[in-house]
Amino acid sequence: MYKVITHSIKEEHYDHPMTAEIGMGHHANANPYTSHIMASALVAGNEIMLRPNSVEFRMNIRSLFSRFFWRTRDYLISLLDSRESSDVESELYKNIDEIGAFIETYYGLTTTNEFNNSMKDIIKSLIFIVRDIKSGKDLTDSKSRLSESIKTLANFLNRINPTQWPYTAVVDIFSDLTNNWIGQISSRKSKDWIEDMRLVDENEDIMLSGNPSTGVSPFFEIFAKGIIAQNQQRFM
Amino acid sequence: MMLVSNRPTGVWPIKTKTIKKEIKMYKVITHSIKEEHFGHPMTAEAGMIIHGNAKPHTGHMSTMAMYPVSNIANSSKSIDFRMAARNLLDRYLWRLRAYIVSAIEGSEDMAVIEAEVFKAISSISKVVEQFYGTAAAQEFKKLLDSFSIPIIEEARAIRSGRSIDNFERKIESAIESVADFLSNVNPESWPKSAVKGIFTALSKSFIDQAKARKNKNWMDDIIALDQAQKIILVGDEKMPPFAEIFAKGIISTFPQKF
Repeated sequence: MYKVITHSIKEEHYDHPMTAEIGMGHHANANPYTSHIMASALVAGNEIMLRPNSVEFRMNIRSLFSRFFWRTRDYLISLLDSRESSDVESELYKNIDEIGAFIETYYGLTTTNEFNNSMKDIIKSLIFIVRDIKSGKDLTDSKSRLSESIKTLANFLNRINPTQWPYTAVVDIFSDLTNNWIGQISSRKSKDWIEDMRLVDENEDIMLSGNPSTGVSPFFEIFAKGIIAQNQQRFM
Repeated sequence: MMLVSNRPTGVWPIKTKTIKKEIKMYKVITHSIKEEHFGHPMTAEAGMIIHGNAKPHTGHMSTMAMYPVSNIANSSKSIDFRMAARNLLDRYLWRLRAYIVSAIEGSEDMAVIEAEVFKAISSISKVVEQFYGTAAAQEFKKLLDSFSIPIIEEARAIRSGRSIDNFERKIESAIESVADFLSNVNPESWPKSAVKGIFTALSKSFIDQAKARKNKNWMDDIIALDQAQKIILVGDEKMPPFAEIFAKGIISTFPQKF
């Protein structure tokens, strides 16, 4: 042994400023912006999140969502540019299965399959929308299908983890995320590359980075911390 | 300590002092933690890597060995910093990937995405600046630019079927310089042969993406992309991801800031 270091660490936990608004999430009229913050507030400030197991889990979930997130954009662009490939589309669904495999430990196989199917439905709806954008069709029907897919996912997540994944927050997050993907495709079709990149940035905030100026957590953290908070004994 | 970026991103250094004035504290937890550090069995080998005598593979293993799980690396600030490093390096990775996709297709967004690649590099350099100063950050930015530019140029050459030899040499030389720089500023955490191994594998994965896309071999493209993501973000049983090596290298050098 060559060195001993003793640390005295004092944690000070404060009431989160959004505490009062947490209850609003289940109300259908909560505005999207507030519900994102609400979901962030729900998962903040718990020391269990700093345990090595939790940190590793959060980072693994981040990697999985990063792969899914970027590949979705890649594939939607390929569809627009007529480079679609059933193999690549299958890979995208495999990415979803990989996220599912990670949560199977906590929720079981049946629940995981339901998660995988809900996520895949969202992607399939997006594929319909991109095809409609490409061919100049009206988007009402395909957007309505997407909206139903998002509601199904939100209902599902809210059912298995109502405290951490409130329905309204999930609907808002996925509506913003998919609207931005659709916006990227529309921008690219009209060769508005700056707008395309602006929407990429915005989507990165929603899924991977969060936004420090608004206090909103990225979705991967809401997802990972939701699992940790519900299964704390597994992260001790 | 906070990361500076060209737009709000990544780590959220909650302004604790401001919050303290506005809201009521409800809990205080005090931990007393004793760290015992032992001579690591790989210490001798780590020395070899710093002196450039080890193979890249061994370098990766030793880099891992230098990062025992410590309380500092899992403090709230450290975790925010590690997450932020992932965000910044992820952004760089995917913008360079986006450039390669556009370059091979000859898409009109190439100039916009190229600018985004350099913006992503600037954001990473700003982290270096906070710990190593402006001159080091500028040097690091220049080196990362020099690493990325020949990859960008090589992707364009692959599209047009030109020779890539010159770009390969430039990439090799840039990797040498990046590895020299990082091992100079932080020899214990970023040994030269480990950094060289990482950047060599990374550049190969980008070039492999360009070649696969040129040949419309979409599955090989995905395999090469996975490799890039593994190097930067995921890691494997032999090597932690570069995002962790980068972040933990800074944390272990400046523990007082975390």
